[in-house]
Formats: sequence, C-alpha cells, structure tokens
Amino acid sequence: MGGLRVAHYLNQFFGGVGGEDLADAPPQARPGAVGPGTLLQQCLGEGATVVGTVICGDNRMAEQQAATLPAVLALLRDLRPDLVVAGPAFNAGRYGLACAAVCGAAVRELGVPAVTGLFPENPGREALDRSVIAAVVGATAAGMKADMEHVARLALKLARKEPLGPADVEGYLPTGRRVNEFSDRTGAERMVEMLVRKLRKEPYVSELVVPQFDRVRPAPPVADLASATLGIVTTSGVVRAGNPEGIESWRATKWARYPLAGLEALSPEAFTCVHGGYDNRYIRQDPHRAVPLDVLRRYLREGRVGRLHEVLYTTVGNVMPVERARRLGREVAQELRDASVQAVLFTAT
Amino acid sequence: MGIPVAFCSAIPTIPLAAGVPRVIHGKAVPYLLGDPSLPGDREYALREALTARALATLTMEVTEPTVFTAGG
Repeated sequence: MGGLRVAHYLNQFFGGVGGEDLADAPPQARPGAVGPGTLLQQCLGEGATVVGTVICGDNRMAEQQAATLPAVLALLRDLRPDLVVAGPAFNAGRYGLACAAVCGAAVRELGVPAVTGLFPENPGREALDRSVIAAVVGATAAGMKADMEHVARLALKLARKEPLGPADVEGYLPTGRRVNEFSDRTGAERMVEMLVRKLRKEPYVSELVVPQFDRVRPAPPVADLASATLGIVTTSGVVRAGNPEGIESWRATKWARYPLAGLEALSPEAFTCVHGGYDNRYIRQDPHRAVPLDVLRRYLREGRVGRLHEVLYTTVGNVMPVERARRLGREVAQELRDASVQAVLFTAT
Repeated sequence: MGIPVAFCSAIPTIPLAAGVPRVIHGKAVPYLLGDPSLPGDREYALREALTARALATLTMEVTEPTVFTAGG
C-alpha cells in the first residue's frame, strides 16, 4: 500500500463508537481504517492507503454543526489527505447530511476531492455542494460491498484527475455541471428526432435538464399591514457604493444585508447597482426605481405600514442556478423568520 | 406557515412559471418601480401606485399564482 493518502469519515455507529446512545460523540480520529474502512481499503487497492479515520456522532454533527464541522475538518487536515471519502451513508438522513457537509468542507478548505455515497432519496442530497461527488448507493448497508466498490472507483478517478463521465453513466447524483461535447449531428437534427419520438410517445432523453420548480403554497395574508412588520428583499442588484461585499454581476454566489435604520432614502452616492443582466444606469441614477424605500418611509410615517424590519437583503438574480437560488432564498427566509417579519416586499427585475 | 411575499417583476411570466403566488407587474426591467421619462413627481406617483398595489396583495387571500397590475 502507498500512493494516495485517503482520509475516511464515519459516524459513531459505523466507526464502532456506539449506537444511538452515543450519537453525541465528539469528533475523534483513529489511525488507519476502521469498520467499513477495511472494505474501502480493499476496494482502493495498492495505489491508495486509508491513513486515518475521523468519527463523529450523528446528533453532534446535526445539532451543533457550526462548532463540530471545523473540529472534524482539523482532524482530517492532520491526516494530510489527497482524497476524502465519507460514508457511504445509504438512506440514513443525519449521516447523509454529515457526509455532505464534511465533503463540501474538504473540497473548500482542504482543496482535495471528496466522495460520499448516498441513496437518491437521502436528505443529505439537498446539502451537497456541486463540487462533491455522491455515488448512488442502496438504501441500506445490505449492499455494502458493491456500494463501497462503486464509491472507491469514483474516488480513485477523481483523485487521479481522470475525466468523469455523465452522472447516469458513472452512477453518481447529478451535480448540475454541464460539459460540452461534440456530436456529428446538428442540434436541429437531434431536436427534430426528439420531437418525433415524443409525438410517437417513444422514450427520449432531453439534452438539457429542465430545472424543477417547487410549487409554492400561497402563504396566508396578513390581517392588517398597519400592525405588521414588513421586510424588503431584492434581486435587482442594488448594493452599497463600491460593492464592498463583491456581489457578482451574474451567477451571484452570495447575498448581503444592509442596515436601513436612520436612512430616509437610498441616495445614488451611497448605493449603486451591479446587476449585469440589464442596463442598470436608471437604477444607479435613482435606486428607488428598484427598492422603494422613499415610499415605504412615507407609509411608515402615515401608519399604513406598522414597522419595517430595518434591513435590506440584496443579491443579483442574473443567471443564478436554481439550486443556488434555493439555498440563498432559504438563508434569507430564515433571517426574516428570526426577525419575526410578517410580510415581504420583493423586487426582482 | 409561510410569510406572504409581494413579488414585483417586469416579466410576470417568469415568477408565474416558478409558481410565485403574488406577482405585481412592474413598469420595466431597467426601472421596475419608476420611469425616467416622467418628471420627478409623476415618477414618484407611479412608484407609489405600484408599491401600494404590491402591499395590498399582502392582505389578500391568494390560492394560485396571480398577477396584479397597478390599475386593478
């Protein structure tokens, strides 16, 4: 054994620490392979060595992730891995979420490829970074041997920087990444063939995955705005002058929160617009054209709106992937909830 | 329970396709709640009408994605 250094992450159960009663177990490291790690080592073969295992209780990770994840990451870092493997977690929800978080952090913070294994319905799927490869595995550990072989095969490919084929061919959960490839037939020919198949009710595969939108159940109205707290959110790209948070003009990866307390209006000196999807000069001239703080201040004085949550949440909604929009939306919605906001004015473009 | 959101957009077909319940049809993409061709007081009046309409939808029962305009 030798070659690639592999660090393995396991929960308390697979790590042999204990069952549900020890789901609070803090992060801890063991030298070499533990439990399913022995199988992982066999599947990896001669070219890679499981140099150590990091174990953490599922509840500890789920309930105190902000404090626990950095500790797990520190233990992984000490192993100086070339590759991180987590799980597989099968259909275990908390374990799946932990594996997704550990892999995402490993890619981000350690700069190494990370692979886990999830049953497609594992809720950890929602927490996956697109940089993380999750091998599709069974719902339970019954198929551990075949599943671990699959995880190891994908892990070795990534670690050796071999090209990875499409998700359905290689057997991992789609990451949403698109790769250009050459075809000997034009788009028009392929499209017409697809249409003919569709009309004949024959099976066909779209070359572009159409994003799935959630059906949003309409929230009940507020009884009276005069006694409600209003929040403001915008995807118009209005940002502080100089864009200190560096919000991207397209495919934005973040949002910003600006305090509004004490601000009567949004002046073009203090605010600008960085949206790259439309001619934003009119918003830069007068940011109220996207965020009507001037009107809202008047309504607050007149008592037509009870209270303003004095924060502007902002990002750029230009060509943002749906998955990312979902995550950013969740984060902002949580802030609004924490601030007991009862109604929201949202300005898009 | 969710928080009601008044979603102002110059292209309502996009939020409708995404299933947004309360959509308010704004003026135009580069000036959603304004119109630089209008004198200042009239532009403010336009913005106020759109904002008032948007806020009004927050007190209205909505059962499916619906577009509201400043006029009605």
